[in-house]
Amino acid sequence: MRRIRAGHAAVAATVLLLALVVGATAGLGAPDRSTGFKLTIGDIEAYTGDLGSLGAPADKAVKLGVQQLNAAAKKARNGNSFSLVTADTQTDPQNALSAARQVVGKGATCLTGPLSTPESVAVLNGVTKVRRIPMFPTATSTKLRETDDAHTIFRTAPPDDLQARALVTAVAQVVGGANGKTVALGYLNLPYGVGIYQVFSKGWEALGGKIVAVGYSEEQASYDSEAQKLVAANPAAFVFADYPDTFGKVGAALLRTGKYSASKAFFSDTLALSSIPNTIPAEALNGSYVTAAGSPSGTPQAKAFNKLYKSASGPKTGALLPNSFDSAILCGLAAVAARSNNPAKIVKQIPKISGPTGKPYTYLQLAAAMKAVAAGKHIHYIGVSGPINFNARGDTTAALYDLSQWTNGKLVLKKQLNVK
Amino acid sequence: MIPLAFSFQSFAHADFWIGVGIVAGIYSIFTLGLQVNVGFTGILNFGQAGFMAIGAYSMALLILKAHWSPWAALPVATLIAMASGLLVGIPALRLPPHYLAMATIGAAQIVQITAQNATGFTGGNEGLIGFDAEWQRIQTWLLGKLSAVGLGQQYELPLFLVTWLSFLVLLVVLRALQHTPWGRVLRAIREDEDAAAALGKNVYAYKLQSLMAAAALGAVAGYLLALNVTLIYPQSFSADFTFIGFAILVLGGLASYVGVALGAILLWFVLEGMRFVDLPLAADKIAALRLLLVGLVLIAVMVFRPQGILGKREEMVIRG
Amino acid sequence: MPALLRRAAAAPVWARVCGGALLLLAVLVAAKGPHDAAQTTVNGIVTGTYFALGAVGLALVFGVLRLVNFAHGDMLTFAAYMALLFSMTLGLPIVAAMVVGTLATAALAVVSELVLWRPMRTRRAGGFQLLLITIGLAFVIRNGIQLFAGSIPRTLDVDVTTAFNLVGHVRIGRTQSIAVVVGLIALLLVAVLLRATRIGKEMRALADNLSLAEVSGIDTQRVILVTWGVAGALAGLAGVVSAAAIGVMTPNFGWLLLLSLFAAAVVGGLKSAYGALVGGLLLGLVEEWSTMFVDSRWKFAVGFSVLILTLLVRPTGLLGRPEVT
Repeated sequence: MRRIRAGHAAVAATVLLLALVVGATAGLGAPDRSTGFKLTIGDIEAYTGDLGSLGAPADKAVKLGVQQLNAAAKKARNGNSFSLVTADTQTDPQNALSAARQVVGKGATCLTGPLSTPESVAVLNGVTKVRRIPMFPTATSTKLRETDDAHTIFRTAPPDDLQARALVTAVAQVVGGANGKTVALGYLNLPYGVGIYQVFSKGWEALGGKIVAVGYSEEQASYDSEAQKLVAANPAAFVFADYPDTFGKVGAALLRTGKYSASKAFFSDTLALSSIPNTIPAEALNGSYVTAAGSPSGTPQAKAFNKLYKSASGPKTGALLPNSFDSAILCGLAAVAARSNNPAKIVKQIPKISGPTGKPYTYLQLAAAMKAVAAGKHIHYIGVSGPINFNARGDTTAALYDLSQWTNGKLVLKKQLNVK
Repeated sequence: MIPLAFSFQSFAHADFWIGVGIVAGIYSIFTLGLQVNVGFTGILNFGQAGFMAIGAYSMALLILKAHWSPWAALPVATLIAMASGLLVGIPALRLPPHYLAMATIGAAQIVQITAQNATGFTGGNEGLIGFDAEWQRIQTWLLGKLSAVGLGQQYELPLFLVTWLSFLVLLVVLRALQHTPWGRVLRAIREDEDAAAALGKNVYAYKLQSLMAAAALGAVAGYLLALNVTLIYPQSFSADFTFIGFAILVLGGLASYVGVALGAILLWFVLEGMRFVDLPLAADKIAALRLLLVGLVLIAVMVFRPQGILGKREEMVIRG
Repeated sequence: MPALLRRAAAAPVWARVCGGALLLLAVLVAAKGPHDAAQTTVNGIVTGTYFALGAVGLALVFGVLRLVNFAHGDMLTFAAYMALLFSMTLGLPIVAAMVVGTLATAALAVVSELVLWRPMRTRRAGGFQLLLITIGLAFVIRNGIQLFAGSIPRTLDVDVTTAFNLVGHVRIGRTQSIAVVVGLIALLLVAVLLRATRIGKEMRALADNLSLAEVSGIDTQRVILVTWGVAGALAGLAGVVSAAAIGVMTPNFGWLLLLSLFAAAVVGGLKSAYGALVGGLLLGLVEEWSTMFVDSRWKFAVGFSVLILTLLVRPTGLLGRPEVT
């Protein structure tokens, strides 16, 4: 008897599930009005998991972007409004799918985030490609470029190969040429670290330099052997492709060797923080160099954004914040150009708001930019992260990198590097 | 079910809930393997995620590197996973129960670390993509059929149907096996290993077969996981997958294959439903709350209803 | 020579393990030079101390209760976060806060025995049931911590950058050296407790044969309670010293360490506290030694290979005796 009942329960559960699913489909279908639309931007970020510390700062940047859009829409009197929904991807492709489906279910037709490439690939193939929803990931791996995205992925952050090349240029300039010089490269054994490690070593070796690379993972109980290996190479420069959480531990181990000098160290953009967190020993950073994508910091929009970000409540530091902010603005501008919140129409308009041709606008002239695109004009959005020029793959074609130096706990801009 | 009641509108999120259904189905198949081992044979297999990884990676590598057809790759990958079960089982099944648990965890960790670091072979941290071309074709074809009933826009439905169909087929097979002499010997081993041995049964060989069956089920779950996230990525196969599988196992009940599906559906619908509860908390804290709930469910079930929802108390005989 | 081999084979296991480790070290010195070998040995002893502290508590509980405690790693985290809490809110000096964190973890273990494990034993709960409760407890502790403290990395804010030369150019961090000394003293005290005190002898008697110990009139409930207290204190100490010496922690750190602690305890024999000590140090040493030959990315794979190899050669661990059922 019991067994039969159990079987019935299984059938009943399956039928119930199917019924729910089929019944639910009836409620689908977003309203689509031609004027005075309401655009919902879906921000999918990692609030937990490996990249958990980067999600909240990025979300704050997107939120500020949405505020700017609403203020500009009011000023331009176009009757549009913008809202934001967010969900946690947990730095995991499976959960990123759920997060994306959740925000799309809540009406989002333009996505910002996620932060990692595996998550972006899952969301692309599982949600956005087939529904033609534009996505602005802050994932910077080169691999994402190789996947067929049906022109739905746009990245304001330049891919890692550009960043690695910027690092090569920066190191070569500072140490006076690469030929015969050894770089000790420490990287976190995650897609981000491995990606930069691969392109950097290739670039450095092509210039005649030597590489001593050490990969490590976040859960190690000590990093002394790794740090000792790096300093034992007696390198001309250290390069790190790491996240702040791990580098706190690695930095302490480097200092314990007694042979590490921060003035010889170079970091990728994840360590381009606005101040040194208490989890990283200051001596491990002070004097070191950091390359970070596209914050042409002299520009009025960059200054204004930095002020805006610092004065708003919430986290004060993060990575790729200008890029997250620009993503939200691009979503909004493209929707205004499309006069619709329909995702496929937004996708089509994105080339018309990016350069290199067209009249340039920054977010400080957002209302004027909205009027221009609503009138069908081709504009060139000059982001906080730099001029937005998308190539056919939705990537920025060339990128400007800041080379800054940590000086007494503050990042001071030294020069800017153009990388193609 | 309270979280679901918070916003009934969330049922309009068809894509989302179909997606949850797929995840629940993948976990169901994964946990069927644990049920064979833990519920029916009395083996503490804590390395199921490792077998899942071996299945998924074998399938993808055969397709991508050896250019096999998926129809050849799938059975061979399943055999490879079973062979890995044999390889782990030969030494590990001679160990006392707790040592066996540790050995299987260790083996699964080695698989994950290898997948992460044998970059040239497994794609390393960046994972593998592009193994699902054939599935894309099938999906398009299925969507064409579904559009006849007005469901052509439900892009997740094909995988949902395939996942649960696979589960049902496996369920029928496993239930049939349960009543064969083979199935009875497994239960006899679980009840009393020495008595089974005294009856002339080769206990060790049966345990190996049980572990190999679990590995095969893990591999099937791995294929579906790969199709769902469209990439194979080392972090997807962490030990946490196995722990959640155990939570599903005891929630549904030991020695009940149907309970596995019930446990998986319940757990995942509550876990994902919690995304819709608006709590005045930061996202990292909400994520913590979800997993805290998994822990509480585990403890509560084990304290108040150790046989789970569909299990029978007299079948709870795991030594160690 | 054959006579020497025969004598080596007849030596106690611990002597053979130490001998083997020394032999391996000699090979490493020959292959990689004395400095690298000595430096990785020091690093290995540092991590080995964390592993040993954690694993001994795991082995004590398993010895007495035949329970693999999956929540043990999260007890390490609990201690570190309690220390953080006390130093932040009450402004306690960090050493005092660490002591409080350790004691709080011992208290947590004792309370869990009183409200959870003892009632479950009186209900005659099975081993599997208890095992899964520990998994549930692990989820509850870890995510409870995250619920209050968030997932952002934290630091106990001790000096992790100062280091000195031990011999020649072989370096060790100041906090690391204190961690090793404190850890080894604590483990020595546990050894004294097990050898020389009445309660220690009773704990060993329980570990050897529970029913026999009960028959011989030992107050098993009391012994179990003390075992939990000692195991909790050791986990707490492991948590605070490793979190302090590594420098950065998240609510995950104990959980991530747990599998290494398991490996250490199983290599040592799971039931034997001395075994766990040997296993912990051995695992730490082999993992750090391996970095001379392969990239650190493989460190954990090396650790788990040691586990599997040990079980292949000695199915009940290095110092474990065959299971008596």
